[in-house]
Amino acid sequence: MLDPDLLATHRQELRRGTTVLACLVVLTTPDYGYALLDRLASMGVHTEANTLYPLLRRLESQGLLTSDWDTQDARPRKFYRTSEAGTELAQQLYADWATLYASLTKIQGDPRS
Amino acid sequence: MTATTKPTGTKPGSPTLTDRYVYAALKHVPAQQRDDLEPELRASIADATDARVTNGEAVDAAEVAVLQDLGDPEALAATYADRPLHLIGPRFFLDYKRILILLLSIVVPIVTVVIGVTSTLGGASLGSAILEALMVGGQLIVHLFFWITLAAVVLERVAKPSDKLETEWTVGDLPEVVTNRISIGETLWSLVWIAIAASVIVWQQVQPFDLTRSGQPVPVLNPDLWTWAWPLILVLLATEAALVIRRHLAGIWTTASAALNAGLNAAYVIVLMALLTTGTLLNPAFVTQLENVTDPLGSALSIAAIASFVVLVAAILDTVEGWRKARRGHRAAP
Repeated sequence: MLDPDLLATHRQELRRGTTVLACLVVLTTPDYGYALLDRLASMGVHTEANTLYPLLRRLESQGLLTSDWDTQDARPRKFYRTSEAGTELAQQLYADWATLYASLTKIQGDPRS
Repeated sequence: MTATTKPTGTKPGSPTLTDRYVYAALKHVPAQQRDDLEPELRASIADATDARVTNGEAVDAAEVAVLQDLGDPEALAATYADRPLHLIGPRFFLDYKRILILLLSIVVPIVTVVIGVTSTLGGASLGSAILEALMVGGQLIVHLFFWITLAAVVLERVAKPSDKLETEWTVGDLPEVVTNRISIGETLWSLVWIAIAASVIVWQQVQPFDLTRSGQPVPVLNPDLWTWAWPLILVLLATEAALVIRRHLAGIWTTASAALNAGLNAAYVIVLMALLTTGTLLNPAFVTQLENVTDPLGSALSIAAIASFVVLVAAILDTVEGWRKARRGHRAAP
C-alpha cells in the first residue's frame, strides 16, 4: 500500500504548474477570486484559497492577467481576465502539456519505445 | 446569499474575526498594496462564508471555518508580498556556508595565535596568555557567525530574484579526490623535522652558539636536565620517527596511529610544561647573559613561554590532523 503522505507530496508536485495553466484558460471568461476557486474545483482542479489568491495577484503583476473592480454589486469584487500575454503563455503551456501527455501515453503502451 | 459580513453575536462596532484577520494580514503587506488587497480579501472571505451558510452552517461557525482554512495571516501576507519564509534559502546557503567555514578556519586560528604570542610578549604568564587567546578566539567565532549570518539573511531579503552571489558552478570547480594514502613527501617532511629538532637539542649542548654576543658561548637549554628531560625528549623523537615509518609502511592513518600520535604530543607538552613551571627549562648561565644585554625582567621567561605556546599549538594541530586523517582513511578504506 502506498504511503498516503508520499502520494500527497508527489501529487502536489505534479499539480503545481497546472494550476497556473488552468487559471489562464478559465479566466478567458473574467471572474473573481472565490468564484474562480469554485469553478476550478467543479472542473476537478483542486487548489487552496491561500494558494490561489496570491497566485492571481502574482500573475497580474507579471502581466498575464488584467483586473477590474466591479462596484455594481453591494460587495465590490476584483475580476481577473487573461491578458494577451496570458493567452500566449497558456497556448505554449498547453502544447507542452499535450506533448508530455502523448509521450507518456505512448510509453505506457510500449515501455521500451 | 443575504448573510452579512458581520456575524451575529458580535456587538456593533467591535471588530469581527474577519476584521482581526484582515488587520493581521495587511500589517505585513507593503502599504501600496493594502488599498487594493483589503476589499478583495474581505470579499473573498465574505463569499466563502456565504457559500458555507447557504450549505446550512451557522454564520459564526462558517466565518471561523473560512479563516481557519486561510491559515496563519502572516504566512498569507508573505505569499502576497513574495517574502521568503526562511532565514537563508538555497540560493545563498552554500555561499554562506563556504564563506563562514573559510573565515572560521583562517581568521580564528591566526588571531588566537597572534593574541597568545603578543600577550606573552607583553609579559603575561603562559596560563593567562592561553586563556586570553582562547577567549578572544571564542568571541571571534561568535562574532563571525552572527555577522555573516546576518549579512546572508539581509541579502536573502533585498536581493532581486535573479541575483546570485557567486559565478556559475563549472566542472572546473570540482575538488581533487583526496587520497588517504600517506605520500612519501609527508613522511620525509616529518622525518626531517624530527631530525632537526633532535640535532638542535644535541648541537646547542655540544657546540653552543654565542646567541647574546657575549664572547662566551653557552648552551641555551639547561644542561642539568641531561639527567632526564633531554634524553627523554630524544627518546620521544626517536619513537615518533619510528611511528612515522610504521605509518608509512601501513600506508594509511589508522585510529591506533592517531591515538599514538596524540599520546606522543601529550608527552611533549607535559615534559615542557613541567620544565616551564619549575623554571628549569633554560640554562641559568644563558639567562644571566640574556639579562645583561636585554631588558632583564621577563625576557628569558617570555622566550620560554613563547616557545611553549608554539609547541602547545603545534601539538594540538598535529593531534587534530592525525584524527582527521584517520577518520578519512577509515571512511575511504576499501
